[in-house]
Amino acid sequence: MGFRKVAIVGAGITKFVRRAQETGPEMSYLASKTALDQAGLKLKDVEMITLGSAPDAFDGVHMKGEYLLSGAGGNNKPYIRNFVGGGTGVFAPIHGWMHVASGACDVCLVVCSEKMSSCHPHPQGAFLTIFDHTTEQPLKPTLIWIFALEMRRYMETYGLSKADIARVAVKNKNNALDHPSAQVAEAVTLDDVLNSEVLAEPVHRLDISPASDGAAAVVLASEEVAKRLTDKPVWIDGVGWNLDTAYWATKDLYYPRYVEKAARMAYEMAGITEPHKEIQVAEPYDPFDYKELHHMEGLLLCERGEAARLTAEGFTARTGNLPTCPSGGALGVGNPIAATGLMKVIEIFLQLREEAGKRQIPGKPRVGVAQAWGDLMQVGTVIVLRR
Amino acid sequence: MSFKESIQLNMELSYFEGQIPVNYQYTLGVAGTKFFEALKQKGEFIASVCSHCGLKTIYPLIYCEECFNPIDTYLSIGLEGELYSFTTCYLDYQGNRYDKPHVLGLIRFKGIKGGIIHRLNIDEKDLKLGMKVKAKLKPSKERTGTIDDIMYFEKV
Ligand SMILES: [Zn+2]
Repeated sequence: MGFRKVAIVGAGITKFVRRAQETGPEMSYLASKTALDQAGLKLKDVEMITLGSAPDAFDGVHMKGEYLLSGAGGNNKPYIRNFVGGGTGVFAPIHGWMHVASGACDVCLVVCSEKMSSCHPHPQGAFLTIFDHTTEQPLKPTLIWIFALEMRRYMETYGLSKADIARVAVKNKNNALDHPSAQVAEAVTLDDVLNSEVLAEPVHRLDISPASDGAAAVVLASEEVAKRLTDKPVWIDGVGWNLDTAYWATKDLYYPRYVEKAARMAYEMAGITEPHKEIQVAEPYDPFDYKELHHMEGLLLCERGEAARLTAEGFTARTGNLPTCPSGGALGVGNPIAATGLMKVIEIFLQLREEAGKRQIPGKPRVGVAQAWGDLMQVGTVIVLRR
Repeated sequence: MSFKESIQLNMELSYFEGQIPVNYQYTLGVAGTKFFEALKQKGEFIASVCSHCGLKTIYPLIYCEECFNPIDTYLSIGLEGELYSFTTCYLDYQGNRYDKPHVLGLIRFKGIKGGIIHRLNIDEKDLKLGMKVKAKLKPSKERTGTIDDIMYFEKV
């Protein structure tokens, strides 16, 4: 299609925590520096920078991209921020891919940072104004409400129980015990999840990811540069993104069509025709446990309504046929919005390089997919990586 | 192409009132904590010093903006600097007129990148770019580790 090949050649992640001592620019620096060191590059080798971060209202800093620029190494460089809500963390490397695939540069640093702890009493206050100001805001909605509506519709459509959903939280929180950045890794059991505090039926406390501070970064390079830097480049084989209307009440809540469209775009570019057979490891976006199932289906990794059964049968465990969220996901590692999506891309990168340590899945995986989602049940962002 | 204003008075429009119901607790950060602790405890400014390329920066950073190496060296630079620019302000951010105009300056320090913006307690007729100025701090017992620990800058 006329695109140049683009590889990931280095990655860095800070710890994900409830409240970091570091500022946003300081967290951005720590992730960026680690990624550059791993790639064996200096900042002067970086030609362009792209930064992803969620709404300004979380940090309480308008022009957050500009505020984070210095820590992301962006001073006096071609630098730009991208933003598609919760989908940002996977869109940011897609944005970086555009820079390198187009030939605009050979080396691009991609940084994602989020400092949600600034927002008091809770980031839900900032989420309030993503809803329609006339028809929905007067009801004082929280994100948990609308996800409860979506989760119930999904469960009813396919006849799923709460336990069918909760198994995802158990898997991911346990997986996260092996992730050095993890904030809420826990050896929870199915009963723990089912018996945790009810927030908005059917959503319980342990069904959801926490608010977090954290940052992540990757270095992208053109084919020639990547082959010079490493004998283990991981290629960005396909990218896709898609947005549906913000009038979320018009959508089929049981199926994320926009994720499917984004996935089909990425698969076509990657030459993948049978994703459920060709993809060996996946990081679907899991801010809520049911979302992992929802997204497995949207990513065409299984038939609609089948994801819960596959989870119950261990198909998605690290030792299963298709491990999902071997990192521990947003549910276990934590959810500093934009940084979470990039953490997922980094997990696939590490898995394909067989550098995931205790989290390494068996079988020398060669193809993986990472996906993020967000806004008002509205955006899907998908990236396919190949070793 | 211009468009015609069909409604002259804003109040004729149907509307909902709303707000974003949050407030913020900003983190001082690693380098910021060092700066404001030094200001509070020792009554001095500190700059960060890059041990790789020598760049000195105020406010201090944990990384060098030039060579991107980590920084763990901080240097006391006292309270005295040079006036780099100044302005006299008559309106506050809501458009209300101040009882007494506010005089603000950007103060820089020799050999150091960056500077401090703060109030000046200097007669307007005496203000001159490049003049030596010094921070007047609150008494140590009243300092809380914020930018308001500096009352103003004055002539040396
Ligand atoms: Zn330096």
